[in-house]
Amino acid sequence: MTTSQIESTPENRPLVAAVEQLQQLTDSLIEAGVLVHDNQGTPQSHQVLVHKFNQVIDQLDNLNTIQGMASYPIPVDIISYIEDGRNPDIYTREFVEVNAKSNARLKGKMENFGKLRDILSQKVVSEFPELKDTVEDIQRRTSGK
Amino acid sequence: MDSSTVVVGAELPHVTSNIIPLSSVLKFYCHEAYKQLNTMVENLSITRNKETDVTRKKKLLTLIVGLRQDFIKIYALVKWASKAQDVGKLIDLLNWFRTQEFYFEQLALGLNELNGFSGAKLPNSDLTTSMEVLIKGRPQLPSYNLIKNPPISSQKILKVLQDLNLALTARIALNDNIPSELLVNHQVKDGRIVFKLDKKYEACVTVANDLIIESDEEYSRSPYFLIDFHFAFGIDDDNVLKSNLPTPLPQSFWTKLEKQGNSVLLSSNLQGLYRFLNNFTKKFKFNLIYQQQLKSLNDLKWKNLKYKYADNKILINYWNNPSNTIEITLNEDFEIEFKWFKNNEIMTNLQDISINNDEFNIEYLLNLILNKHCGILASSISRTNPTFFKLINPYQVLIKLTNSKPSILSIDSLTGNFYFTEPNAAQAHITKRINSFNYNGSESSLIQYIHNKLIELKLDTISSEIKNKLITIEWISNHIINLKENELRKLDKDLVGTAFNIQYFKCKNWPSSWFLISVVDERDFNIDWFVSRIKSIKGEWKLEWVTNLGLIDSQLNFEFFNNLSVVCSNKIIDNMLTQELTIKNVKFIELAANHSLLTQFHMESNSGKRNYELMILIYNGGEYLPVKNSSNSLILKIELVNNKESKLIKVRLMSKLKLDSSKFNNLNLDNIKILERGGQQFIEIFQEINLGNNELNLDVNILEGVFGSLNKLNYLITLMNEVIENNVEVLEFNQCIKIKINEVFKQVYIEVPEKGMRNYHYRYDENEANDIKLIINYINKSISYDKPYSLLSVINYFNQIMPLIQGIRKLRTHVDTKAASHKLSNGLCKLNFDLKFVNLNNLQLLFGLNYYNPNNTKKVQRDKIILTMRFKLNKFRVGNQLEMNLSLLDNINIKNLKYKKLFEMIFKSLNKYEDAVNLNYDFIVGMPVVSEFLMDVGNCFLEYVEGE
Repeated sequence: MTTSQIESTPENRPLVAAVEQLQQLTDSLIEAGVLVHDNQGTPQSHQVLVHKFNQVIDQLDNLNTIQGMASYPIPVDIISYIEDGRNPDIYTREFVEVNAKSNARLKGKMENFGKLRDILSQKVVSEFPELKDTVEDIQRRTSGK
Repeated sequence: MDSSTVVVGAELPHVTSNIIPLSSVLKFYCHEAYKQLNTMVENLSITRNKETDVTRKKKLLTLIVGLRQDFIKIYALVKWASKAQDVGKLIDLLNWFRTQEFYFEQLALGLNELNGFSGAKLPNSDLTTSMEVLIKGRPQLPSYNLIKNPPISSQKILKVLQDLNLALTARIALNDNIPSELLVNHQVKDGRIVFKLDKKYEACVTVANDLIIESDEEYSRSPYFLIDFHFAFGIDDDNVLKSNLPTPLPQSFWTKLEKQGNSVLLSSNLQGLYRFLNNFTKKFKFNLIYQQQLKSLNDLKWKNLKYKYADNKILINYWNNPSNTIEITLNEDFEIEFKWFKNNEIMTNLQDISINNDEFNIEYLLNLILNKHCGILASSISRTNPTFFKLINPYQVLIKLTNSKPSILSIDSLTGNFYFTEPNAAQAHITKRINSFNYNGSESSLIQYIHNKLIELKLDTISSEIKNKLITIEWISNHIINLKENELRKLDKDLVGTAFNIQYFKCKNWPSSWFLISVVDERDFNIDWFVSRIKSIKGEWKLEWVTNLGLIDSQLNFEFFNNLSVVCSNKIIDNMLTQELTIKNVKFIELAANHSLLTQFHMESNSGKRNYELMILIYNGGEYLPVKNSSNSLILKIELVNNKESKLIKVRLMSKLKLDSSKFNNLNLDNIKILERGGQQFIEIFQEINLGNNELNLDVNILEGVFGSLNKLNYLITLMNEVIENNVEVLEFNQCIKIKINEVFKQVYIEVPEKGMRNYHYRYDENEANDIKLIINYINKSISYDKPYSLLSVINYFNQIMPLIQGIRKLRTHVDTKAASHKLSNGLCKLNFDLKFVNLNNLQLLFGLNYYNPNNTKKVQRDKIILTMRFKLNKFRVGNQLEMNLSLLDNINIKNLKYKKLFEMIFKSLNKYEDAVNLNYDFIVGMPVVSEFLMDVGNCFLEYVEGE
């Protein structure tokens, strides 16, 4: 489990609130478990337990009603990762790596095809000088300049 | 990178699949946790008594622990969520990378496909490259770096050409086997031999080196090559084949010819080339005529044309008739010649159809020939019947269908079809038949067929005109009648065997079986009109009677047709009259209206269009009028008056009359008049019969009335003659004759017999005495039988019986007077007398004797004594006169024994007559004494009664 803290930026405010709520909720659930475990069947213990459960339900409701949570897109793969008990940051890292590889490969392709285009243009222009304007136009539009 | 130069690219495409917002995850888990808690609490409350607290606690604990673990995971997720937006961008970026990689893969594949040039495209309209590819077979790209040859100098070319000229001239000179036509028309120039064959072609050959070949064996070392060729003739824009129009070959064709020509030259030198080019040129010329000229003919216009090319000739077949052919050939000089086969016969003497070989046009030739053919046909048709068919131009024949309706038959030179200008249905039908006529044989059969059809058309046209006009004025056409040949001969003996048209009509008021017949035949096309009676006997139509109306009017106007009905009615009535006369066994002849006899009879004719007259002379052999009182001829005039409303028949019978006017002056019969004309006596019987305007009624006996009157008159005159002959006094002569015969028969009327009777009828005056009435009645009864009685015999009887009647009357008076004084006590006379007429020759005198019954004095009894009288001829007496026979025979019976005394008295008194003959109970006495005789008999009875 990660223990890194969330930066308290305005963008992350709903998240910070949610983390707090979740911490309280887990704590309440531990307390509830203790209360259940130690329950002697007395009315007082019942009363305390009921109170605790109501607190849990209130916390669930709070968690449910935090605003601004819809703006965080969660890929389904991340949910699978967490379900399986794996670190979602690994997913993040792998994804960044895949992107970097794809970017490099694409860059290579773009550069090489650009070279091919330039050589072909040169040959076409030399054999069909009248196509020069057309070829240059194509070059201009595809060189990204 | 400078911020000002940042190029803002397009937004990355945003990926949304497999992405869930964090709020949804939280919401799901919160709800799920609440639900599980809720469920668990409810379950625990239910299982309170079933499970131990420990178990239930464990369950709740398990749930709480599970929930906590879940929320710890959510905790981890929320913490991760701080990077979620960056990761989302990475996802979009990776997606974009993949798309771009896909494009590059496609690009690579596309480049690979360029190897197959399947998608390669040339720049638009690049004429320079096109020309290069066309000329050199490929583009001469600058990168080839070809080195250009320097141009050959003019001097070199000239030198080579001069060398060639020399070599060629030498070769021509040294070769003996050059065809003469080539040799004559050759010219060596510009390094080639030019063969210029006038009106055929121009060909050039040359050689590839300047070897001089002297023999055929060496020829293969330097063969000739064909380098140029064009035809001397050709077709211009107007599709005219001109003999001096050079026609080059198309390039592709020239390439083939060059190859073939060179191979021919290689194998068989110039002789072979000559044959080859001649053959080629000939075929080309045919081809020009066939493919260019014939095929460019207007298909619609020349649709009946068929042509084929075979065996060096073109066969053109026209009018869809295989026997009409034009054959086009070429002669040795390649000049065009033609042969024309009309109906498989070759046509000669065609001076007016000539071919101009310098400017040949097949359409012109076809027009000339086809027009000529039309002209031959048209004039042949017009010759078949020059009266009605007239040639108005070489393609048109004027047909006089009727006087008012000429029609023009034309021939379409393109199709050979015949057509009428503005045809009606019948004409269209005829042309259809003519055009589909299949004349395998000679054309004369077609001409004959057309002639027949035209005659048929003319007959039909005339007939339909008649029919239309007749039907318009309410005649009825009959299509059922079909007369056999032998019946048709009755109309016109020559009719059968000619083309004719016969029609039957009738007026609606005509009796059945009467018809008007119109006949038109091909001999003169005049219409013969007949009125006839046609009956169907055993399924065959028979002409029972027919007469030609003798009407010849070609105008066929309304007046004619209107008059036709009147004339026909007259003919029918005429026929009825003559038939009636024939039935009456009258001997008669018809007289012309101006016959001299008519003036003798003072009969004037006033026949006209409205009135119809028939004059008939009847021979009188005494059967109509006594010859001595008339003439042996009677004139019967029948006048038919046609009014709009009705038809009147006036019948007038005239006869001369020779009568003693003193005796006949009282003659007065209904419709009989005695006329005095020109000092001569005539008798005229007149009757008027109104036929009405309805159907002509043939049951009316037109002459019945007149002949009845004549018959009556005849009887009267005959009777009068007889009366005069017998010196009988005539008291009156009127409808009957009143005569006085003797003192007893003072007024006897004689009437002419009733219809069906043969004898006169006698009549008495109403005031006449009963005995006379009785006698006359008996006479009428006796002579009403078949046996004829002459007037004389009847008068004789009246004279004979007169004394008897007188005697009886006297007797009756006498007996009646005397007997009045002898009466029974009851006032009844003891004696009475009566007369009984049994028949003309049997009279009974009845004497009744009344007395009281001796046994019963109150009862009066009556006995009857009968004396029968008959006329008897006493043959023993001189003079053979009739005498009276009085018979007592009827009284001989036992009852009468008591009258023995009476009978003795009678016998005694009668025996005193010396002349009388007594024969048992019969007495025969002469007529002069019969009165006295009867009186004696009467006295006997009176005496007997007195004695009683």
